[in-house]
Amino acid sequence: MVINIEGLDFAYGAGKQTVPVLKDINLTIESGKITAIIGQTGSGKSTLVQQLNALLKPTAGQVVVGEQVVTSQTKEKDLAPIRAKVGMVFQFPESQLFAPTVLEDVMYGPLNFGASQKEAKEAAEKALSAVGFDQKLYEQSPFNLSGGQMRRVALAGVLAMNPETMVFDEPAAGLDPAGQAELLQLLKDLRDSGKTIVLISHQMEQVLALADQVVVMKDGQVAAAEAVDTLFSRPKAWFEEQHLDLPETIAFQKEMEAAGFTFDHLAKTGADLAAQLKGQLDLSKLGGDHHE
Amino acid sequence: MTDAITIKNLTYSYPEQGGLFQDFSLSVKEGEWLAIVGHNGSGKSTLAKLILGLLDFEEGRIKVFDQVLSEQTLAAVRSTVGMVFQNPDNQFVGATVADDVAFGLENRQIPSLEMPAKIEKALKQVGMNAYADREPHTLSGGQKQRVAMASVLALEPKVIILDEATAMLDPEGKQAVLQNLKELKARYQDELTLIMITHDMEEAAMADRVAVIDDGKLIFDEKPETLFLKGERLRELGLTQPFAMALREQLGIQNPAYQTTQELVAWLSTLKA
Repeated sequence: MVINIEGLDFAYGAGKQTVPVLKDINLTIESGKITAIIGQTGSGKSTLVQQLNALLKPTAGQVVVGEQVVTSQTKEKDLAPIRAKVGMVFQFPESQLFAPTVLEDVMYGPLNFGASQKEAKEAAEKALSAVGFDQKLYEQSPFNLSGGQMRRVALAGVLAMNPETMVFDEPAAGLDPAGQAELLQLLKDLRDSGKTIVLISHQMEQVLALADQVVVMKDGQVAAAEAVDTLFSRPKAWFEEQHLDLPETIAFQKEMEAAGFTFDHLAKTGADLAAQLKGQLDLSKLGGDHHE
Repeated sequence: MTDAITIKNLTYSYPEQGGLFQDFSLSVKEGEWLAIVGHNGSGKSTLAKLILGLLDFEEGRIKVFDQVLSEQTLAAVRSTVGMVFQNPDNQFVGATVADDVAFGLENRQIPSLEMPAKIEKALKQVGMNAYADREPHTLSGGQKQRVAMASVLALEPKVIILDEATAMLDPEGKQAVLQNLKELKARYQDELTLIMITHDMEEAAMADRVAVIDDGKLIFDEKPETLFLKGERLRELGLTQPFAMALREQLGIQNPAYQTTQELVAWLSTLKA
């Protein structure tokens, strides 16, 4: 399912008291890919993703989710199918867990969308297993779990509704390096199983490691929307203008280029960077005992 | 130099999950900046709660300057040690930023005439004085954490513990908080002891010394420069190595010295074939 944003403006408030947030946005969120949305705090990222499942409706222009068109005039009752197709995982989603057991918490969404007890239980179990959650803990209170486990339960809660597209706002925030790596792998697995993933992230390393496409927001407008390699091939000065950091690997590569080293492609990992650098170093300059 | 915090032969078990610290000892010198690192569940935050007397331990002794932590010294210990927590949204009670800082002072029964000056001084130290009348919920995450820090600073603690205080912030907010910490340390020097609990190695690099904790055990206790050379061991512990050090390992070049990214770029440039 493709999501198209066409000539979208959005302002909070009504009448004379409006605060424009998004201006003339034209974007395509491609099916089966991971699209990262990046930009400084206040650039409009969160407001933009809320258009994707009609939590917010455009002030002007339209959002086309699959077959369905959302404009400022679309009635609330027509939005339910869109909410079912596009699932939202907000920041620190574990703060919204509430049920007495893990299983009941995950079943809540499907039940709310009209599933029977049996269907909801099956959907919940499938979702919990997809996020790698230990079956032995299904009857536990979600509040007795570790932070990483709680986050998985919250993700499963959205996944259980089987949305075609899932939107994540800083999904790995606050987790330790091992927890972050597991979560990022989970997003890749979801994409590889056919889901469309939209990811808001401040962590450029994550964007580099995960994203197929990247949308850069600045002052409520799209500053760039392109493949991840194209984006990170832009000069360092461009990222400074957007107040964005570069991933460490890319920043290092650009520094080395400035020092006269050459690379035949953008290195996405330290290992790749090292492999491209190795042939350009003369280790005999170190003297005998420094190198292997 | 005196010890600000001395933990000796501490034994503590989680109420349900069981043993964590067993005969654990660690001390922090007055004026030192210590980072405590470890993966989630390693026990690092529990240690902070034990120091503040928020949890009871079974055996051992915790000393804060010359006070041995006990029910009788709890109030004195808490006025010596301030703590900033992880979640910027869970630390506010006041209707405005200034009220929030005032809350801690009221709890200490500071005369109300002395309060405005203390509040202003504390907010100035974190660069938030212009926001004194703002409602806390209108602030960004980084600003909230700086106000939380001001609330702690207003009480003039000798020790500040930051428990993953930047983990929930965006890069800009994080840099603002870290920059602020550097300034505070430069201003107070040996009068302020900082304990930073984190799993972020960029933060750990700011400290004088890093204690690495895993399952309640002290695995390393050394300067960041030497710790960062131990790439494989750090990865085994669920931690990362600063980028430049990891890259140097991948290049297969041995160099006993720690290098920052800039230093490594400059050094590699001299080796260009």
